Amino acid sequence: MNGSTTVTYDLEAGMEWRFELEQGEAIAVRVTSEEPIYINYQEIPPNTWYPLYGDLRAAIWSPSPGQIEVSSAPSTAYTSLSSTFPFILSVHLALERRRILAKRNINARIDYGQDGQDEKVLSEQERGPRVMVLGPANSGKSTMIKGLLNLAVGSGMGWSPGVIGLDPGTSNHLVPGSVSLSSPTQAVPTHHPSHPLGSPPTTAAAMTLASDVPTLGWFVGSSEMNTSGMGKMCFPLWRNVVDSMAASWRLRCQTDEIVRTSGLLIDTPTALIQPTLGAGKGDKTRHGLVLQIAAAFEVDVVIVIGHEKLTIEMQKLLSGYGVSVISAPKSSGVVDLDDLYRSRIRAQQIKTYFYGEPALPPTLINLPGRVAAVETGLHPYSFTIPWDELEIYRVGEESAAPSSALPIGKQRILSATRLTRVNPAASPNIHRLQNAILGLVMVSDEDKRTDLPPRKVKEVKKEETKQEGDVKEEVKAEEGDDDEEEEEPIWKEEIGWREVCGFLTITKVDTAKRKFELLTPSPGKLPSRVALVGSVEWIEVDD
Amino acid sequence: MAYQNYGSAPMYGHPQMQQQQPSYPYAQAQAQQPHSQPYAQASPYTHSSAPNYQSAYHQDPFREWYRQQLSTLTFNSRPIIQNLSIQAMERRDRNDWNGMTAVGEELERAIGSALPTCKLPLLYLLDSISKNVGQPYTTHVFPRFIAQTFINAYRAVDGATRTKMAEMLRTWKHGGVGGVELFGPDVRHQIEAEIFATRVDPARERVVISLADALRSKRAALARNPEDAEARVHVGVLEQIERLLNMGNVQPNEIHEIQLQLDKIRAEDRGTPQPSFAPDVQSRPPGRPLGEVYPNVPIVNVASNNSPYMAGGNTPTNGFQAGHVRTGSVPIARQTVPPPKMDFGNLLRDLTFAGVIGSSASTPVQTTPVLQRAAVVREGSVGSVASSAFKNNGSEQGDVPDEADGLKEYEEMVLSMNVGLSLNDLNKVYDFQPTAHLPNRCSQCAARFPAGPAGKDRLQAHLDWHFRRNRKEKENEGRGANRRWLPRAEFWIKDVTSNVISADGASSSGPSTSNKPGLGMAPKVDAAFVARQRAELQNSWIPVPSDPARAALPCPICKEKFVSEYNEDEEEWIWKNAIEADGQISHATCRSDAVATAVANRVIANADGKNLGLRANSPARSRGNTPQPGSNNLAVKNSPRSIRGGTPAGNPSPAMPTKLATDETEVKPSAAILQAADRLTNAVSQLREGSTDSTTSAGVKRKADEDVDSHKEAKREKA
Repeated sequence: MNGSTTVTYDLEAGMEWRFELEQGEAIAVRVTSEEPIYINYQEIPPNTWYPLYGDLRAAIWSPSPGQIEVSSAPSTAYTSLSSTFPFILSVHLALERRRILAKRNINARIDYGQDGQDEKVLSEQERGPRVMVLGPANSGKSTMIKGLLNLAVGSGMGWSPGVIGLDPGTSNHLVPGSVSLSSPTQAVPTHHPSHPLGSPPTTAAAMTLASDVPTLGWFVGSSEMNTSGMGKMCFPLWRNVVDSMAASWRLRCQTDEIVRTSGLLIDTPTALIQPTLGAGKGDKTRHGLVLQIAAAFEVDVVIVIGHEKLTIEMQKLLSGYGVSVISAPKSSGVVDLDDLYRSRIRAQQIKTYFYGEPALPPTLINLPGRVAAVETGLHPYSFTIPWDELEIYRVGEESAAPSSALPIGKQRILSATRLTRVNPAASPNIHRLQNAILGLVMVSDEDKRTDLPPRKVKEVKKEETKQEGDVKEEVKAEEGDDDEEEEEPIWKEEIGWREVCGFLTITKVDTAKRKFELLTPSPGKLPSRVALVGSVEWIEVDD
Repeated sequence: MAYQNYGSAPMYGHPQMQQQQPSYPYAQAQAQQPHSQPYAQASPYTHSSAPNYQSAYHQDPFREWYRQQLSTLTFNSRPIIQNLSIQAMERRDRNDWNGMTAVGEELERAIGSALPTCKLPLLYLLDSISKNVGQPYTTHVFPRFIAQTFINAYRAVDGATRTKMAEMLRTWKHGGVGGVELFGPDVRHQIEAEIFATRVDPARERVVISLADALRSKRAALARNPEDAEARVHVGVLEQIERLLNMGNVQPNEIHEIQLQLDKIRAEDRGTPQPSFAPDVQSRPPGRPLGEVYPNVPIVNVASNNSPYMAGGNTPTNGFQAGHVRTGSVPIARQTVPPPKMDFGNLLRDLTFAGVIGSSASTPVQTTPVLQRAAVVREGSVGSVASSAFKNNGSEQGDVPDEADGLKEYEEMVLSMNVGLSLNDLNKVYDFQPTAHLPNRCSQCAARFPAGPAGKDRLQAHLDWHFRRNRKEKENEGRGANRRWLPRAEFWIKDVTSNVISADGASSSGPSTSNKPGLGMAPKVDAAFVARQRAELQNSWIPVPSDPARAALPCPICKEKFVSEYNEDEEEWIWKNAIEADGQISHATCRSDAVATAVANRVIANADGKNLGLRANSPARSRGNTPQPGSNNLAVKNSPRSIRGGTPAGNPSPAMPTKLATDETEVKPSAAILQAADRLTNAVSQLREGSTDSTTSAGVKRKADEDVDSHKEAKREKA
């Protein structure tokens, strides 16, 4: 033991040790007392350096007197006796009770010999709690979710709660601009802010228990829940995505009794506290999106953090449906995160998706003694493909030809979630595509539109000849097309809210060679030729 | 043509084939290289380390052929390396010492004389032979020269190749089956000392050697007296230390402490004879480092705090719970040693607990409130070490879960707390420690498991996962991993067992599933199922061979000796976890692993599918009374316990029979797969052997296995 810089903190019972790391700051914590000490309700492994880095801001909680050793004193660290962790624990106990009862109900049904007879009937008694957490920005929603998750999976009961990350700003497992549904089975560590609830599987052996979280992802195109501006969220799409997630979740619950009894934890974006969010013109429904989520996932517990008024509103709104609405205190330790911080974390998230978790800083690697395992670096794959081999669509495109431009007597019926093919040859699109994060969607022949006018056939043929034909000539032809009319997509709108099989980014649009340079997580052929694009961008920087 | 020069010579070991035309499979490779010259002209091989070489060359066509083949290995050619490895294996199978020596000498000479750019493939071949054939190459043939050859080669090659060589060297650390040193530590350390001079720590080396000594003597002690629970625990701890040492994460001061303690042990054991062929204690399969012998390592820490353990190797007792301890284990002396430093990690505390080292009360330990109050009762009988109950007599309810895992008590406690979703309830502060009911604790990460045997099983499965993961990580080093594509929704919905399949087949009893509760409707392929299969393999046995020479042979895969035990029912000495196939006796678990690997490799290698029909037609070759891996009846026999164990609620469910039936149907295909895999491997190896020696009749290959067997027998006799 060098002993030169390490700092020891004695923690009283129920005390929180809060720390805020600056950019590039890295520390490691080791528990030197006997009683368990938790970080977001994951027990810190005994006698092991637990790395904390990558702008992490979190709290270590010691329910009983304890002691931690820190490799070096962080720039901001203090202790506090006002902790919300006991409250989270109380909530957990209430939820745990529900899970145990659900499990016993299932076992009782099996005991009475009705095993598997009516599995389709999802009796309420057999279902674990479905919890939605709402709250303003920086109120600790994700901390609440993570605490409840870690308590559930760490109970030794083998729970595997479903986790829904509806906040496209901070994806639980994937990239900003996406929402996810996952089924973790292991307590999730808190080392850095990327992938706060664990990473989806890689080809390597999982380094930590929390890796390889089976995850489904959807791409909503924007990392903000803005109603206007560049990063505008397409709320009709968002609503469809929620329904699509709920459908998957229900199907899983039908067959998987562990997931069914374990329940669901839903993390929501801050914007959901706005009553009018996502409401269409003339729509007077307040909290329409919250209602939709509650209905889709049959939420029965709503936890509102640090927002009395919202609690009352939710009680009015939801109590009629038998939903328990709880008001939770906001932790006094939460940090108001600025936009700069958030955008840095988002960039780190995307990097983590492609490259694996941020590498352990050298100062931590060389610590004397064991260091907790962190996922190793991943190797994404970079290659170029011709434009034609990747169809890129935008969902809910704004710019459509005005109705006056249509032939007289025709009315354009525009769907809010219609697909628009993004033609890389058109100059505004180049900027849109450069550095964009794309969600890759699997399609099959069944997804082809049947209502296409026959004209489409010609275009398809043309495309075929295109591939063989002279490139230069085609450039001209293509440019001519652009002026005429936007290409009608050949796919049904449904692919817009389908789960994605992964994300990739266009690192370069080569207009001369008509090629994209892509960065994909996995090598080999792309699993699909159809991708969705939104406003999420990422420029790789070395740090 | 070069080939003709050799073709006219008698074919080594296959006199019956002399008349046949050039179908010696390797000859074909030569035939494609009409310009290859007879060895003597081809290059000025005058390596001094093979003094008998010239004479051997004239006498031994195999040697000559092997040399010729080696000269073609100028690039990383999988087929050539494979062929040459198989040839080396054949020499081993025939006990052809000259052949094996020839392989070693030729390889040594070839590596030494090859151009720097061509050394790597030859080293790969050496690596392949070592890993696929193993003994005696790894023990007798290669170690003689490997270190020097490797170092010389390392100095000759360029940077990229050096990296590859270093990578290969790293795999040797755990390259032997079961993660043991491929050539023994000496070889690797010698190389490491040379090529990365700074990285070798002489203190560490000493510890490794002392540790090996201590381990040997403790094992011997255990072998002399299998009832000695103490020794068993010691062996377990020492094995764990060994493993940790091998993994690298040990600091110099820790090493120093370990050394001190080991010296002490050695002093204690001095004068103890070390029986040369005492059966090895390692009845565990290679994949389970901690094995049954010592499942308690991580939990053990909790007691050391207040337990004055004896240094002399007596049953450790808990100071203030002495009443619980059986008589017969009387504390003799309390030896005080300087308190081990804090950052020792678990291993020293493990040592401490096991009574290998003395302890001091100031040793910091991890414990849980429940366990603080709990007495740790250890009993002096063998059986109870494995299943020794950590009696939870101090918990809130005051109940003592004996066989149960304590989860039922946990459930009751949570229900009795009756926390509702009202602010009234939620704002109370509950005296609830989330991990208190999970005393079984992993020493390597934060995972915890319930009490009792069931919890221990889960902990052990979890430790296995750690081990496999570490091994796999080593294998994967240098190979780039990447993020997988996400699953389709349909897959996720049906993916009830995601965690079983996720990592790889080996992680079967992976971390995640080990936590799955049997809710009465456990996932279809769960950890219990895999554990069951493993248990079946471990339960398979064969009578100890009557031929003493044969009985002395270790398992060809993991190189560990078999453990003889007397089976009352059969009235015979038997080897457990053993299986006889191809006239070779190996550990059933080793074989199962090897087969799985072989099949996987083969599927990749033989994508052409040319021989598919042949393989499919070849029947299984195992002897009638040899239990097959994954045999059905065993599976059924073992099922109930696993299932019951997996039901935390523990309520005897009437649905159990139904569940059993489902599990049975699950077992069958899998067993079938295993058998098919076995068949496949056998068939392929037959095919290979057949094609190497039988030129006349392709029909031979198609004959039933008895024919092939007799054919082989005949061959052996002639050879």
